[in-house]
Amino acid sequence: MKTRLILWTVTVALLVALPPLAQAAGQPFYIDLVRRMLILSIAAVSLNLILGYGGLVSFGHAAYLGLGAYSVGILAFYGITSGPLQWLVAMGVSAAVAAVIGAVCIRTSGIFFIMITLAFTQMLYYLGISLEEFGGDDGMRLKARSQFGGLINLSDSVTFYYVSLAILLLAVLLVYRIVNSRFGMVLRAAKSNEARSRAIGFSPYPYRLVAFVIAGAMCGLAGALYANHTNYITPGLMSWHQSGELMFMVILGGMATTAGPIIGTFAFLILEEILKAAPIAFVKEHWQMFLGPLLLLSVIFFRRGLAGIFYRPDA
Amino acid sequence: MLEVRSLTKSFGALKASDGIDFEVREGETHAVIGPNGAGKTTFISQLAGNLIPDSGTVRFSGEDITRLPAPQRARRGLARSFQITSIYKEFSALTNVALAVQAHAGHSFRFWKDARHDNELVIPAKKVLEDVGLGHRAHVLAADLAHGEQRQLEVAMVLATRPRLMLLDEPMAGMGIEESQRMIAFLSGLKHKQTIVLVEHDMDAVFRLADRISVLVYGRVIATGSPEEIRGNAEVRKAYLGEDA
Repeated sequence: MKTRLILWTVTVALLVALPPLAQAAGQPFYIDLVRRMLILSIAAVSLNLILGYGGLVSFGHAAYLGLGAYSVGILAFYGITSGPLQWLVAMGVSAAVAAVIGAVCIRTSGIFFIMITLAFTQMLYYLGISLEEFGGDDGMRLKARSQFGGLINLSDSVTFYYVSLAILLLAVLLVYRIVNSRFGMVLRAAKSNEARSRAIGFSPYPYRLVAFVIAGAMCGLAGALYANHTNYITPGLMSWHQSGELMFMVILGGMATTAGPIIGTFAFLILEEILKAAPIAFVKEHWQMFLGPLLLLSVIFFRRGLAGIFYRPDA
Repeated sequence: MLEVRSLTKSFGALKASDGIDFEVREGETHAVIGPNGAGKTTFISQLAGNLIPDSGTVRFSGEDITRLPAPQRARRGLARSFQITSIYKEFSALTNVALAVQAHAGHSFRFWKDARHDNELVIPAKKVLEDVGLGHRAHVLAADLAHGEQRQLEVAMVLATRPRLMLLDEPMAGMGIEESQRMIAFLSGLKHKQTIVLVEHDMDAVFRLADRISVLVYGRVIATGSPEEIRGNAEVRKAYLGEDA
């Protein structure tokens, strides 16, 4: 417990210290780079709630990243730039779609669950492509970043960085509290042994559905941040690649661990950067080929991913 | 308390339950015995709601529960243990039992308070663990418990739901002699406080614990009666006990 507290403190301190350090070193580029990692970590943390703790292998989680991003993009397109409103809509739309998709998918299990979540997300992906008004296949430029009056200015790179960090830490805290609450225990128990759960009187369905909606809303917020981060929204955000990458991050970092999704996201994106910048052209072009075996190794050697190195059973 | 009328369940051509009539009285320990493949587990699964019968009725305290799903039956006080141990292996023994307590403490849409330190759950759970003799193992991971202890834990989980009727599917399965004796002693301590349907292979246990015995052969109840009556029943001896002799 103590070790983990120290690790958390050091990690948060490093993340807080990064912008001034990067500026001092004359490398402000790193602020944007890490901000992207923070935002995608939020998405991974949300996926971990249902994938890691709930055992719901959603192969369509990128849908909510896209829905959140398009909510911001489309509202901005029509001149509605209020940040609180945009972000609430992003979460609301994501939650509503998650409720519909979840209501159908959670009745199934195993491979059917995976395929149906994928199918729904592909539908949204093609919907994105068909929206000519919003750029279709090419995507759309974000007209202006979300506005928060004079309070917060997201156009300021450092401010935006700290906003992302704060939201990530809130998301981590929220998921941590949820998975250890009565609600979370039902969710985890149903993953561990569904027959046992039913025999003592739990109906897992409503709990799983609510978790699915919470994860969707949280990922929708990540999408809203992501749109602001890239200033550009494409249907590609909802592609199965993106869903796969989110799963990869969670599994690599460690499912059903608090820090796993963050470690996984950072490890994934840092390796991606390194491989993409590799001096050998072959590695540069086929970086996924080198990243894949890493997942294999992490699954084989660390039962709980990279975070498994620090994992102690504490049930 | 429990009333089963002409229950049938087929798997293809196999009639696993072939018109079973069965009755459990409040406070009794009612054993169900029968040779392998007699349909005992199929029968108990229909009582617990894991299987839905093809026809016939199951009434519990006067209410028709024939088609009610398992979780709803459990909440009405019908709790089962499984022939193959069914526990939450990655949680501690205490958390296993606390979950069973939680399942009967109203809805679980509570998102913030830490359930592991919730005294409403933990205190009753500890009490039940002590009752079954696992008090000293409360913080051991269920996966790390010995086989016999895991069986005890499962019974503890059933008890923690405060059932009105316990359905125990071979609680002594795979246990050593000493562990079996301890379990028998424990179950006999529950007699008349707790209504129990006991499916069991261990004849010693059955004749020591049961108030009444029903004998199931090829999906039919061929006899029901006190242990003495069953011992003396010619048909039963022929169909079942004869095999052991």
